[in-house]
Amino acid sequence: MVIKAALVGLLYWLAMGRANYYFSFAFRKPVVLGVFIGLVFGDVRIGLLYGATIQLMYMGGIEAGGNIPSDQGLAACIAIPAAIINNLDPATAVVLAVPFGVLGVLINNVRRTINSFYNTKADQFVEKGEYDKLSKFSFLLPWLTNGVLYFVPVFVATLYGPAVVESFIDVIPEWLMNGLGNAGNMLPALGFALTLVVMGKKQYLPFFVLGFFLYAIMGFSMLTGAVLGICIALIVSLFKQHSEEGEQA
Amino acid sequence: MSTTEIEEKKTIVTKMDLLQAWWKWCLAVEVPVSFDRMQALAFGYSLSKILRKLYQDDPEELQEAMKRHISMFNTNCDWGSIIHGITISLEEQRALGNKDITPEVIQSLKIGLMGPMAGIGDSVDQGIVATIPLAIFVPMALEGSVIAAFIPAIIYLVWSYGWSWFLINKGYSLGKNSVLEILHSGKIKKVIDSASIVGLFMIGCLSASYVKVTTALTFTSSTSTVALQSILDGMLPKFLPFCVVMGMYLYITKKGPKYLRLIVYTMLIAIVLTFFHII
Repeated sequence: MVIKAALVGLLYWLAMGRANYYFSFAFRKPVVLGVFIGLVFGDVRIGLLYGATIQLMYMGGIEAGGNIPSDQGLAACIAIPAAIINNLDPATAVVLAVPFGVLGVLINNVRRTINSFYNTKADQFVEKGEYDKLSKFSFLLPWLTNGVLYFVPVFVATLYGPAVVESFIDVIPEWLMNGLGNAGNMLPALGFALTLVVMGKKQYLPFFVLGFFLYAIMGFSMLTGAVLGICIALIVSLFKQHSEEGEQA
Repeated sequence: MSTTEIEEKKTIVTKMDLLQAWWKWCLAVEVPVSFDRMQALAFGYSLSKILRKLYQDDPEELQEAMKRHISMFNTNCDWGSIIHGITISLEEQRALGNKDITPEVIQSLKIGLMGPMAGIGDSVDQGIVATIPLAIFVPMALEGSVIAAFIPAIIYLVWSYGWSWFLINKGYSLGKNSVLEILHSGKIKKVIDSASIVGLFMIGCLSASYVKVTTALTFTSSTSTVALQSILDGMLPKFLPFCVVMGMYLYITKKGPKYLRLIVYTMLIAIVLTFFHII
């Protein structure tokens, strides 16, 4: 069991440690993780079934600005082993998965906070001209820190099994769980607000407002949004050109 | 003009350097992400070897360059690669003695491009490349097909590695041949302006799509019960999510980048409001 728990912990590290982002992004899908967790527990078929069922909840989870709205990897890595051991039906596995998806956002936030420390360290080394150390603080140390952050919770949860997982969920009162869920739904706003600040130009804020409420009313696909946005930008530059030509004439 | 033509023909950066920068970017991009500087270190890590090669005779320039490339950066991982390409070619031009390319030009290009690349990239990658194959193949996986479970992942991998490698090369050759020309003609300001507009518009769409808050408050009069949310929806749909984004925006512009505090506040407020059944 220790080995199985360690393997699931490693899977989660691969999925959320983000070394080779494209790979980890593809790997963290519950439907993919389900196959590997199934392999660890000797039943690929049932792992796939749980994984695919959990995946249905996370079909459109965009991580805009790198903010994960919900950690589907943690949801899968904790719910699937518990479901396999307890022989739960897939729907129950999904209920189990949701709160852990929210908790995963917390782990991500802790990770980013720790990384601020590595940022400061890297500044100091650049100041001293020791550029060799940059790679250590840009990749190796943050990645190993991820390892601890991501491996430990999953290892413990799988090892002490569904009993702990269940009692953990029992201990957290419903209002707190819902509150965390609501917070998880609000937090993507930070990523967007941050991008607004970075893009900087206050006089362009109306375009943000326009995009927001057009989407709120019509709910088109993001590609449609991109087409609309490009058209608006082109129209604006057309007007600018005209007014500049007008000034010259 | 003739001097720049001669300079443009000289190159220091090889295909191998580009490959390494690309690989390091793919490897590290999301690993050192922090709230305050986002992908800054990954960008610097990706470019560090090339910068040291370019400015090997000028330690002061090198340090300046290093500093400007570990400043705040955040974009979409594969679409953003074009920024690396352009930045590398600009730094190369600068190292070759073209002082028209000031640090400000390089910085403003980076910052001007990262938002639009993120807006377009996130929506195409995650809205289309990662999502539509899932919608097609997960039902097949539910029926027990292991291969179907992997197909969406494979599609995403091929797309993102291929597209980012293409874009870093494209950015490098674009930068080398036309960025100077564009700079002189003032086109770049137009491009950045247009890109900012598209980016802000897309952030609006994404915010409306992913920020979710609804109120559970109801008013009870003698005859009926009215939900506040339905009144709000009638006035201005998604008004509350809009307030959340704008509130955070104002907080950051007024109080500075104190993200952790903002997150803790958001969580506390959400939990308290939930406790009192307001949201």
